[in-house]
Amino acid sequence: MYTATRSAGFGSEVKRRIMLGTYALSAGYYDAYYGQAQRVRTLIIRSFDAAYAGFDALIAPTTPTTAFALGSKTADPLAMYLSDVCTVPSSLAGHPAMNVPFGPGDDGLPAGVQVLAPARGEAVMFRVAAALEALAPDTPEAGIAPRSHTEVVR
Amino acid sequence: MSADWEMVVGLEVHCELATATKLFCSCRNAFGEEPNTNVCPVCLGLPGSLPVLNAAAVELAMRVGDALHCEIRRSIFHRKNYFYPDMPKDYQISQYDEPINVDGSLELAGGARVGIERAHLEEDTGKTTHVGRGGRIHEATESLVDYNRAGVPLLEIVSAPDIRSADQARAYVGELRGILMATGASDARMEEGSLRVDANVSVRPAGGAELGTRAEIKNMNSLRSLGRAIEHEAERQVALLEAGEPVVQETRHWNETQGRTSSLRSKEEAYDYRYFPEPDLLPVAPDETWISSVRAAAATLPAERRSRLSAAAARGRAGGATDGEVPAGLVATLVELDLDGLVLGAIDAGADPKLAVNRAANEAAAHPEAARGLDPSAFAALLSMETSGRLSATQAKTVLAQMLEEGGDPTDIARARGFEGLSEEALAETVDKIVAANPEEWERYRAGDPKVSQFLVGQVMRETKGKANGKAVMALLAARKG
Amino acid sequence: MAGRISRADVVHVARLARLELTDEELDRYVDQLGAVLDHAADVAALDTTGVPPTAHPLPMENVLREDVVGPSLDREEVLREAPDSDGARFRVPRILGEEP
Repeated sequence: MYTATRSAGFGSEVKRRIMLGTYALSAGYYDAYYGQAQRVRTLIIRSFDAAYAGFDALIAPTTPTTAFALGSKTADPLAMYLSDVCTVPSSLAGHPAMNVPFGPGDDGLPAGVQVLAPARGEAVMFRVAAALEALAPDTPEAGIAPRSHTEVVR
Repeated sequence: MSADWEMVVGLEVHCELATATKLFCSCRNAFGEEPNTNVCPVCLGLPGSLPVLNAAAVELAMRVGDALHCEIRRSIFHRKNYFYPDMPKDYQISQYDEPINVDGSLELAGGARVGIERAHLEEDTGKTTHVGRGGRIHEATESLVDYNRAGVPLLEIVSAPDIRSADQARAYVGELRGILMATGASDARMEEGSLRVDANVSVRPAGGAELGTRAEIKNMNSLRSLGRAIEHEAERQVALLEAGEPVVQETRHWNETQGRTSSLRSKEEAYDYRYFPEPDLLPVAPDETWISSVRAAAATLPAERRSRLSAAAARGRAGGATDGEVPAGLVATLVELDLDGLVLGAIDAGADPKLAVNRAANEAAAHPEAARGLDPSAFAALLSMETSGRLSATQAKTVLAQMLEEGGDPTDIARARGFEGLSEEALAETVDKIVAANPEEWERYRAGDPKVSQFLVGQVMRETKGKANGKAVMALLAARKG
Repeated sequence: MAGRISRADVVHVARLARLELTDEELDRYVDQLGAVLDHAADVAALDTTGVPPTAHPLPMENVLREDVVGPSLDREEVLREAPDSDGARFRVPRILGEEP
C-alpha cells in the first residue's frame, strides 16, 4: 500500500530528493554524507560569523547565472540544484537574505542581487535592500506571454 | 530452570504520561474516547504541521528521572524513520543518543538494585485493530486505525540487564509503578496500556560473565504474564543451548493462552531507522533552577514510605523500645494499597503498632478503597477496644467489617451488636462460678493438665454467650491457680 | 562519471523509501543520483576534524508550550479524504511482517 501510494503520488523530483535523503541517512553512509554535511554547516556558520565581525551586511549574486529559459535545465538535476548554490548558505546558517531584481545581465536576461544579514538581522537587511532597490536599473520582463497555470506547472 | 544456568533480563517500560495534552500539540490526552476525535494536523502528520514541545511532559520526565536517581541532562529529539499505519508522519519523534535522563537506579523492596540506563521522552503511536476473516490475528486482512493515542507523551525507561528472575522482574515493575504514581507522572495501568513492558531475555551458565544472545519478548499484558513469559523464554533458550543450537536474536510474541513465545520477525538485520536530529524541535536544557525545583518537590517514594512504616511498627506501644520487626511483606502490601497513612495515624493515636499492622493488612486490606477512607482515630479506638479485652478478636473483626461497609463509630457498633465487653468484675464472677461448678476439671487444671484449660474457657464463653475475651479468661484462671 | 552509487544501492534505497521504480527509472536515477553524489565529494574533501556538527543553527533552547487543551478537528473532516473508513476509524489493508 505504501509503495503504491508513494510511487503514484510523488513526482520525479520529489522521488529523487527522497532517495538522496534516504541514502545519505542510511546505515553505513550517515557519517560520510549527513554527518559530514552537518560539520561543514558549522564551518559555513563560522565563516559567516567571521565576515559579519567586520560588516553589517553582505551582498552577492542571487544566482550563479542569469535567468535561464523555462525547462532548459530540467533534464539535468545537478545543474538545477547548483542554481541554488548562492542562496543555500544563509538557510543553512539560519540567516535572513533577500533578492533585489537588478537589471539585465550581459546576455539581456534578468539578474538579481541578494542582501545577506546575520541571524535576526532583518532590519539591516531591509534597509540595505531598500537602498539597493532605489539604485537598481530596470529589470527586463521575462519576455514570455503568461500561460495557464497548468501548462507552466507541467 | 536448572541451577546450571542463570537468566539475564533487562526491561523496557513505556509509560504514558498523565499530561492534559499530547507531547507536540494541544489535543486532549485521554483514554477511551470516540476514535479520531482528539486529533489535529500535527498528530495526524499532515503536511506543513510543526511540533511544539509540552512543558508538563518535560517536568514529569524530570520528576521520574530524579526519583530514579538519574542525571538530568541537556537533550535533543531525533527522528526514528519507519513505515506503519499507526504512525502518520512515517517517523516517530523520540530521543536517541542525547536523552533527558541517564544512569540511574531502582532499589527493590528486598534491597536488590537494578540499574536504569535511560529514561527518555517520545511520542506514542495510534492504535491499530486488525479485522477480517476469522477474527484471528494471522487471518486479518484489514486494519482500523484510531489516532487519538498518536502523539501522547511516553517516557521510555530502559533498565540495565540486572534482573535475574521472573519474581525480580515483577518486583521491578511493581516498584517502578509505585514511583510513577507517587510522582504523579502516570497511573501506569498495564491492563489499560498506559504501562507497557517489553523484556530482553538471555541466559548464560550460572556465574558466567558474558551475555548470551538475547530475544525481545512483547505482548505481556499483566504482571502475571510478564513472569510467565520470562520463565518460559529462559527455559526455551536453555533447551536450545543444551541441544547444541544457538539462540537467534529476534523479537518474540508472548501468547498468553498458549503459554509460549513465537517468533515475530528476525532482528538479525537490525531495522535501519536512519536516526537524525529532529530539525523542528530545539534542544531542551533544564537549568539549575528548574532541576532544583523538581528535586525540592520530590514526592515521598514507596521505599521511604516502607521504611517509615517499618520503623513506626517496630516500636512498642507509646514509643517504647523496639519490640521486634514487622514482616516486610505486610509493610509492602500496606504501602502498595495506600494504607500506611491509616496505620501511622492509628499508631499516633495510641494504638498497638503490631495489631494496627495486622488488622490493616489482613482485614482492612480486603476492602482497600473503604479502608483508605477510614478515620485513623476511629480505627485506633477499635484497636484499643480489642487490646483492652472489651472486644474479642472475632468481635473486633466484625465491627471493623461493618465500619468498612457502612462507616460508623466502633463504640456505637459494638453496643448495637451487644458486644459490650464484660466488666472485669463480671468476668471474674463468671470464672468463679464455672470453677465452682466444675471441681474435677479445676483440680486437673491446678495439677497442670494443659488441655483442660480449653474446656474451662469454653464453659466461660458459653456462660457469657461469647462475650468473654479468651485471653482475659486464661489470665484469670492462671491468677486463680496461684 | 556516475560511479558513486550502484544499481543495487538504488534498488535498496528505493525499498527503504517505499518507492517502486521501473527499470527505465532505475537506470535514470543511477545516473542522476550518481552525478549529485559525485558533487558531494567536494563536501567530503573538506577537513572537518574536530568540528562539531550543527543540527540547530540558532542558539535557542527550551521552546515549550503550556499544557492547555486546544481544539481538535471535526472527525468528519478528518475522515473525508480517506480512501476507506468505517465511519470512525481509517481502514487500511493489513501490512504483514512490518509491525515494529
